[in-house]
Amino acid sequence: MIIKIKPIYLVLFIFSIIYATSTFPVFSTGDGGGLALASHLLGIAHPPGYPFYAQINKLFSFIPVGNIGSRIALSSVFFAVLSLYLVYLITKKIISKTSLEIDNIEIFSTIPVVFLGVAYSFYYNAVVIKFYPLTLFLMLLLVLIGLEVSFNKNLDKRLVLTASFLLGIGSSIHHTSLMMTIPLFILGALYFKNFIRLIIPSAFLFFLGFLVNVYLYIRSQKDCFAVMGKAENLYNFYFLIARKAYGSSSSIDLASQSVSNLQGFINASKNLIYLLSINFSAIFFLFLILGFIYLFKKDRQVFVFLLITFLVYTLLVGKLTFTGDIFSGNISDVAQTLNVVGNQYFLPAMALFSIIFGIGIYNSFLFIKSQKMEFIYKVVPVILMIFPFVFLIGRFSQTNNINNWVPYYFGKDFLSISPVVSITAVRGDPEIFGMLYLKLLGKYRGDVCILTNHTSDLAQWLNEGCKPKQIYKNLLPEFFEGNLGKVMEKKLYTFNVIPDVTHPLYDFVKVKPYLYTFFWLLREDNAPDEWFDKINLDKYKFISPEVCLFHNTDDDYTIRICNYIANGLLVAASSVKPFLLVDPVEIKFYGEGGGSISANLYINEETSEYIKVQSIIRKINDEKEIYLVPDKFRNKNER
Amino acid sequence: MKGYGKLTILLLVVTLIAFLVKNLYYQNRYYNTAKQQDGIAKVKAYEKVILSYIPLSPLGSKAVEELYLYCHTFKKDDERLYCLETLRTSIYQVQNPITRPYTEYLEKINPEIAKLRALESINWEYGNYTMADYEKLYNVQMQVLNYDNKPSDFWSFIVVLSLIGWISSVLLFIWRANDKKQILLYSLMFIAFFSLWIVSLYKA
Repeated sequence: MIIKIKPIYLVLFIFSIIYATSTFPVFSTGDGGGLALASHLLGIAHPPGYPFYAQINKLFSFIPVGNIGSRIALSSVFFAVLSLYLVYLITKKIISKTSLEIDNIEIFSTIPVVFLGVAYSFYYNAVVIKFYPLTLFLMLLLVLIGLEVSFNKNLDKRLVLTASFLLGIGSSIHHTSLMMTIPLFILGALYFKNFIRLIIPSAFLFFLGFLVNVYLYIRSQKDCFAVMGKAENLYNFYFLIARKAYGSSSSIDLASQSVSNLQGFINASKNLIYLLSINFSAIFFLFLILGFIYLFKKDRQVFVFLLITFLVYTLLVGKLTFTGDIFSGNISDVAQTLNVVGNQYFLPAMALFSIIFGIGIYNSFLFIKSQKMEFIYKVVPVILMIFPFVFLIGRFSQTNNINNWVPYYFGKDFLSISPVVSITAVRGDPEIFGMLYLKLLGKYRGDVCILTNHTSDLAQWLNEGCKPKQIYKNLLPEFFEGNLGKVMEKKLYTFNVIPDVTHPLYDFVKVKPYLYTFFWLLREDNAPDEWFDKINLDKYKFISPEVCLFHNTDDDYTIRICNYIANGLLVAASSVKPFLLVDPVEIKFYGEGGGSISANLYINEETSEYIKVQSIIRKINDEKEIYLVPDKFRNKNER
Repeated sequence: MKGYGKLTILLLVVTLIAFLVKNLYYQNRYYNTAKQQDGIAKVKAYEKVILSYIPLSPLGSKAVEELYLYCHTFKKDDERLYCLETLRTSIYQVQNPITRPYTEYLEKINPEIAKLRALESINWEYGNYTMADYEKLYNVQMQVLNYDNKPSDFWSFIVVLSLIGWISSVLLFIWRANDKKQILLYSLMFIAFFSLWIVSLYKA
């Protein structure tokens, strides 16, 4: 007996397995550690705090398998797969409502799902600790609601209220979900009379959904963990929700810049065409056009609704976030833009792109069928549904993080080398989130007081890694009495920043490299260089450069961390002073956010092992190898 | 709606099985690696076994036990401290309210870590502590080690449950509240879950 199972179920099961086995062993790079930590402690993530995401993740953290970070990553897997299912439902709905030719509907509705599932950016987001799959899921639910209204030609009160409520909840995830307000508002306006009648109840339902954000206020009263800021009063609540800490990139400021200049739209269009081409293929633009033509012919209202939604999530989001030139300039900046902005903010655009090109493919096959090519109509769609799995071979060495221990050991090593009962000040997301995860969730090296700084303003210190004060003031009395000089004198203050002339302490301190960080010392400190050389070589055993040799991914954050780790090896090498002095090579060490110091490196047998490993790390971790980086950078030899 | 619910649960189950198999495979792999390694590399391999936690797995328990014993073979204080701290953090990172694995080891490890940290502070070349400060340093370290910043598991679970409850009650109100009785039922449901949510956020 043959059990008939819909192809979509098989596809979803396959993706569930692939994604669940591709997550990081503990926490992912970027904000991963911070988001996992905020979820576990029911705390507040970076602005706007992501309360809904944190609470959903808390449920995943209860799973009694694996470690907490890896459990939380399963929420991304789960919502990514559910989003794929929504792509299928939306495509199927459009086909079934617009065509009588539905004999191959299951296959045609599954084709866009498979192409999206194997796309680089989608796979990437499905396996990291981030809120984008959840945001996408919510956004696609709203698209489904919009389509229901469009096809039924009826502004059903229940659909409107549900959409408003979901938009309210959307305010507690990533704010891009709120952009669905534009196409839904325009769609609603087509049913003007009903729409006006429903405005007040809709606003009320939006408010009910928005209440999820009350979490931020209550947890702030409990002095819970917060990555960047709390919401203890109304002003701070607004400051957090509106992401004001990001200055001109805050949600309010961004919205005000949305239609300001044409050049921005042109740059965004160029970037988006590149991004969609590299994630799918340029040929799919043809199917996109065919898809829109089909919708235009079949149902104008659906066409308008999907076109506006597509433009909002491509051009408008692009204009707000993706206007930088990704085809010239510094490869590091390009890689970062593509990784942070391109890779993440455009998941909704990619999902819509695949739905509409899926309709386009269906449209093409209707033509093939009309030409009496029955065999092609029956067989080729099946091939099209299976063929994209071939791309997984590439993805397994790009977005499969099963062996990517880099963020975990980077954070752990940073703490491992910190002197007992010391202050470790850090800047930079990988350092901060890795260390805080290890210390506050893993309770590793509780004796180290971590001070963090997310901005370039060095006066804005956060002490989440040094709480509660009543315990730590007994541990580090000088620091809590305001005598940082005394702490420096004891060589118990490290910071991964080198002060430049603009730094207020520039005239009073000097720094010495210490593997991943720097000892901050009083200017008059006269500890011998040998002491610093010795501690660098003594503590070298606690760092884990080997993780940079085997992570087998092209994740930009991982590559950046590994280049930082490679620097640590050079610090160790420069601490080896040969018996027979040869001419040294002068090398420069850079701290986070500028500033540098020089050191001498003696190249001989003793140092060659460090140098060899660091050069292999650099070679393996080359930003040119990142899949999203445009080809023109691959031929440049600028590093 | 019923079909969607079933599919969602099925997808969740498939995801969890895949996750379980992944952890099982890696636990086995890293355990074999640990057997072939020495020094800090062995500690890291055991750490990975523990982090790939699976309830009732004998490899996880063996790794904890063997790592604990191995930590005491280190001659240098900083290496022994690293080893014990690694064991401790691995245990904390796999905690869950259902099985609470290996917690009995924490009671044994904490005093050892406090002792080593106190000694390291005293031996720090540029510090000004002496053996006379040992007791004080040890006690402060024990305070740090015993400090728990985690929200209550019970109230955290209630937070999530009541959040799902009040969101569901709003959706049920929109879709199912057709008569006065149902309106009252879903309104009360919302008030109850929402109040519980607020209380649990404070309590957690």
